[in-house]
Amino acid sequence: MKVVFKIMDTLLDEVRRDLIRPHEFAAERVGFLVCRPARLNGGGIVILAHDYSPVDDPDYVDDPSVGAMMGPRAIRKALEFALNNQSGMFHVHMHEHFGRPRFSRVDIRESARFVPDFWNVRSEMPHGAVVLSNDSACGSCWVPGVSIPIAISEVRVVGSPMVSIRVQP
Amino acid sequence: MVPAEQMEELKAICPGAQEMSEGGLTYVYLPALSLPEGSNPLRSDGLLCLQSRDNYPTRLFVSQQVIGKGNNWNTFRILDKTWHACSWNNVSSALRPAQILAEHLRAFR
Amino acid sequence: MRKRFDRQSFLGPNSTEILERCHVAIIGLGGGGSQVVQELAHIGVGHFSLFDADHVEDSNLNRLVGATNVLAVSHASKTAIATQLIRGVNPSASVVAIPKTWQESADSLRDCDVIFGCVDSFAARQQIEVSARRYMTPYIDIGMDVHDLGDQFAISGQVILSMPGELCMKCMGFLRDDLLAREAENYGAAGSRPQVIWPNGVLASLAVGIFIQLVTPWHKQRRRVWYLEYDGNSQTVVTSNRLEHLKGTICKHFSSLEDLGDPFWSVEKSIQSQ
Repeated sequence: MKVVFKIMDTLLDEVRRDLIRPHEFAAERVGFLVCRPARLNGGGIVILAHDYSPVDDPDYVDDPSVGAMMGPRAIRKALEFALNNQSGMFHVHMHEHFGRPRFSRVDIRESARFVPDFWNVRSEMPHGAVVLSNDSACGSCWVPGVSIPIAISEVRVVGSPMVSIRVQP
Repeated sequence: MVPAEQMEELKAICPGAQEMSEGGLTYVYLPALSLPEGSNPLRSDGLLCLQSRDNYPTRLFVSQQVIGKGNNWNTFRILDKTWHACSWNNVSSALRPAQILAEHLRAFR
Repeated sequence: MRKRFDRQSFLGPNSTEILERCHVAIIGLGGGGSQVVQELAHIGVGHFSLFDADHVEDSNLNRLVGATNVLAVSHASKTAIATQLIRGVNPSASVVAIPKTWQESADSLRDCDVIFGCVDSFAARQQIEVSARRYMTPYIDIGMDVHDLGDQFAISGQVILSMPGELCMKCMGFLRDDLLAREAENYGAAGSRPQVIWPNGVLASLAVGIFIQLVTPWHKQRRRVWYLEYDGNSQTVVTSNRLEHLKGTICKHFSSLEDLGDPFWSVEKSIQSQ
């Protein structure tokens, strides 16, 4: 299935600016993109990013073994938001380099744990995870009814200019 | 926002009635709305706009054109779906939504 | 790089591939839309979705690019004419021709990179813009009018870029409730409004230029909002001074999460999408 992720350039810039801010103890910052889906003609879905909700500073857990660890309060806030706003939630973090980013083993392990939890509050919505680099992005989408995450095939940055980031399988 | 008791009146007519909004306008989605006897089709999804648009104080849109009823049918795209509406004007927004719906359904009698 | 596009290499090193992958929708294939189609085909856009329920008539021949006498006599569909135009330039272009009102097949808009609106009613423009915003797609609108001033005629036109997150056509004052109401009073009939080819050419070219700068920016000026006003009597095009008065304004017409995506999304749809 084709999964396209669309985000405004202004929102993407806002996300990147937030994610590179230093934290007291976490090596990385994380947040959530608030999204709405639509199905594509001919199959597939498009995920439309509307807003960004950073994880608040006190809601990180000090765990030196990983770049960033969200505490239960962060996840609870995100779950509440998804419930109250009929949204799909996409976890986002950043690797500060140029070129295509990849999920680390820790990213994959942790995403597989908490992303499906969003179906407890919004079972009809796709949820997922996105990782950014300085100039690229990739992501995975958990589609309701599909047991394994699907790689986002294209990230479209809408603005001036428009940028299409196609992810080769 | 449609007051709760007025939504209940609509749900008595159409159990799946659901309030929605687009572009600042309030609509009530009416899935599988029963149309007046003799209509073709007998059921159609409906969308009731309770505020002024297109020079109509209120308007009923249906997912399928009612054959042989209503004049000057036009096609619209609202809430990401295709809708049709005929020329049936002057149903006041001051009425209760259930009354507004009943008045619009008279176009198909 | 193919020799065909050698003369436009200044658009950027990957411009040919970018344009080949672009998917554009053109709603309305009359005088304005047919010119947009022609230019996009020549410049190398690879994917088209074309919407128009109409068929060509003799009265269209004064302006409809691609229409011939033979096609008018046979009442060919405007989508067929546009398809032929595209394939004549680029036989490998992907063309989805939808000979219906766009409202009946708007699902096809969801995968487009840019939507061009070349329609002749305010109501249609408003609905297209709502759909474009729902799918986070830039919308470029063109249109012209001939005004009877009593002692002479005046030609005017506009090209507007409605970029998601930026000023919409209502913000810009181009779409107004009184205009929509007046149009609805007349049942939205465009009637036989005067239409001629050369203003359509100007407006279509401006629209395509805006599109090119969005997808293959070739100069440093990056604009997110365009509202160009064409005066066909003085043969001038200027940026509407309404934009000056709107500096710093944030669009409130499409700010809600409700205006994004499929409002009827459900679990059953997500399974069907597989």
